[in-house]
Amino acid sequence: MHQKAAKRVVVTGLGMATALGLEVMGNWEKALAGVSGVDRIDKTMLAGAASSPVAAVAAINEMSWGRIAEAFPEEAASLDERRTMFALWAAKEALSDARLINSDLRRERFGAVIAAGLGVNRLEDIARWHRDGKFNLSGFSKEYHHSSGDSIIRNNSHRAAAAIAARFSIFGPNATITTACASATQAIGTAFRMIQNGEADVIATGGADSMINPIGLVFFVLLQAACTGSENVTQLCRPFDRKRSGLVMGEGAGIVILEDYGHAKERGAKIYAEVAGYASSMDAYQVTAPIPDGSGAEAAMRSALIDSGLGTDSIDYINAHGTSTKLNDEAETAAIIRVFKERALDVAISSSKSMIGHLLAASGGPEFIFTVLSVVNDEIHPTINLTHPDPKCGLDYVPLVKRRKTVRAAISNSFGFGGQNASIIVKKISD
Amino acid sequence: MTTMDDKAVITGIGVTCAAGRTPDELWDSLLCGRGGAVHMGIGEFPCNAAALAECPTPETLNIKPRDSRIMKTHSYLLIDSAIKAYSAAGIAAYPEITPGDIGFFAGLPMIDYEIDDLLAAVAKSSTADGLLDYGSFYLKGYREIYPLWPLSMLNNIALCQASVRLSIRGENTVFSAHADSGVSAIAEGVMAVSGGRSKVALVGGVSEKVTALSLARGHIAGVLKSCVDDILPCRPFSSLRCGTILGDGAAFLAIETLSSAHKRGVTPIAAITGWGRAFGTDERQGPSIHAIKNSMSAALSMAGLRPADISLLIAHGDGTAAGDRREAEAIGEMFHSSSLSVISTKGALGSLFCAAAPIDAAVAAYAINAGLIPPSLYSTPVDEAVNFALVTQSPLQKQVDRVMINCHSYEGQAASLIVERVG
Repeated sequence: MHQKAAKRVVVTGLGMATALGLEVMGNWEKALAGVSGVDRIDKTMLAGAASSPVAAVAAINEMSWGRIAEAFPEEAASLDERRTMFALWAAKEALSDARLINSDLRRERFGAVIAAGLGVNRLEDIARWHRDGKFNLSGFSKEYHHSSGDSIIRNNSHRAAAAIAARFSIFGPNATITTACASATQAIGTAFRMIQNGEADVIATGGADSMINPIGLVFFVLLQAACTGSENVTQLCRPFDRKRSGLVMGEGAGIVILEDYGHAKERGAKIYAEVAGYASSMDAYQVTAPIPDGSGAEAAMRSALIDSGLGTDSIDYINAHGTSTKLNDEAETAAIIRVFKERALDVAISSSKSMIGHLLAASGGPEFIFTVLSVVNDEIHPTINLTHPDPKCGLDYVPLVKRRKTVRAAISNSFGFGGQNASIIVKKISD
Repeated sequence: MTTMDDKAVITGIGVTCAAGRTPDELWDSLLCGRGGAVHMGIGEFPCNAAALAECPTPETLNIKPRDSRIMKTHSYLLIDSAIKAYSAAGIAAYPEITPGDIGFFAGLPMIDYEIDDLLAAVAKSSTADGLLDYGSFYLKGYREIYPLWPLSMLNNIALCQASVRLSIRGENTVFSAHADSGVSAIAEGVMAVSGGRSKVALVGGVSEKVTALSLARGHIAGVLKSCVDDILPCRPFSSLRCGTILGDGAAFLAIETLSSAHKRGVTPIAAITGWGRAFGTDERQGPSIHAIKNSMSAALSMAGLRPADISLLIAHGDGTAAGDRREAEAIGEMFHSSSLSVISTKGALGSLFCAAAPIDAAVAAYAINAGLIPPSLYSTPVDEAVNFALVTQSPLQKQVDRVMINCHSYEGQAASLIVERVG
């Protein structure tokens, strides 16, 4: 491996699909206004939803789904998997924003690094071959081709990255990251390293996920991490609030275009911001909970700062992982205090999840986009529903109302079940 | 940041697969032409053979019964091989290597649920006529599922369990889900040590667990062996090939810079000097010829090599009709005038998905140090479309200085890795 000086990496395209909408600026305006994307589960979307222990999610509605399916009719007919369709939509938006659709870019220098969730476990695939408490393995082995179209039997986590590459003629490095809720930030960080290392000039990166299916809905209920409240659903997700009661699931995708700075300048691309640094760490504590003192998250933020060459005094904003769970909110707060010490109160912190829900493997995608837009626009979206501050979370979480503030550089945090942490730093572009 | 000449080298190997539980056993089995395929007896799938590893038990790994409830075969294989690589590299003997200095990068496969994990929930949620009633599922059925079961479905959890066991707190990630992911994990580890972010990195991957679901997925993808009357396992590049078989196993490599290895007084086994990754698909089941050539070309370019510099190519060669044809054509076009030798390890080991790259890297290191190339098992009669020197039947004695490894996915991803002699 012939080492060269690390290249500068910039952001030149943004695309997303969340419960707040399918356009980046529409999402941003709603986020600044503190609009919640959380709603009652659509009974047409999910059989038996009225009995679900989870009453509300931040889902992409039928109208938006229709637009996505209309944009990708062949894939809608053949893939039948929400996360991949969301990935395609967000990639299209990001590529279009970066003026890279049908461009004369060298396609083998153009990559895709995408985070994806665990996929759909369809109970129908067991029920179909189940009789009297037993599974008919012989029958399944002869009729497996009747399994559900979106189930993990017919899909794999590589599908989203492959679908994007196939649809948009992206022939360079192609990879899929699966580190639970840290996945998308790790994907963006991995893409950042690939461009720094000269392996690609341009990479479409981020994440896509959907677990709004029966097994997905009870997933976090079983882990006692889900919010199961049913009143005032737009107020259910309350990061850093002492009345919080767990995470609210979202779905969607956030994909950005990362590009070698020289390459972007040469083609006259619009440059949003520069990726200044990235790092990951592991708690090595226990797989069921984050390390309470926040030292794992601290290591990720501290190493990202070292990687960026920036000091803590350069960071004006942190887009928190902020899941609205007691364990995460307290550990993340502790980590920020450990890193920023006396400056911790000077850093604005907000949680996008309070509005778009927890997009799980994809969560770092839209949150990275909001971080970039804060750096570009010197505006920070609020943490909504933060009306009863948790005394153990005593930092500035930008409650309820957006804030205008110069954001020279910002950190986006993502932490995964199991103990994988990732922090990425974005700063204003300079020559 | 290290210097340009400070290569990333392998200083420890941990392996568990059908051909052995140590790299020495793996190497001896390959030289002797011993394959690990057995009849599975899972239902009546057209392909019912697989190359199964002797999986370590929770007891042998000192895992508490409570913890093992969210562990599956891939967890044990990962922990076992990571411990072996960690131990072989003598990392524990160097307290100056802190937990945060150790990187951990893995390729991990699709994780399938065990039917028994959900069967009670389905039974409790079924109507008298056998239909699923989601109202019942939400009210009572889901409570039959073990509360921590969701963690067992996250494929990163196995890496996290191993990180707890080995106290690894450094840079990390998990790539999914096919063989190219193993190359990506190795590449990330090399970048971490070369960039100075990790002093040592454990890099590797694990196979899919062979289950009814993974067999169904393989058949739906159209890659599993379909000629049921052929008693042999997969036949890479043979004119009689008709698909692949699944294997299970795992491998991890300890990677550090050459200067770090010298400083610690450990013997570098081989160097990793380049990789390439590409995408392209013109039909189902794997990368296009163009993508395969692009990944090989990118790997050569990164390593500063020409095709003629490669002594041995360990092909993806999974025994699928279309996959082998495309790879053979790509290899033929790129290496047409060189004295390249080619093998595939899948005849002996089956398709190991994310474990393939690190296991093949171990084989490459042994080939370099032994001056021997093990034969490609079950590859005869060789397909007449193969226009390179496929090593079959018996080991070939040959000086091997540089090895290329190819790893492909079924979705169109292609990856190549270069392993070289140190010094």
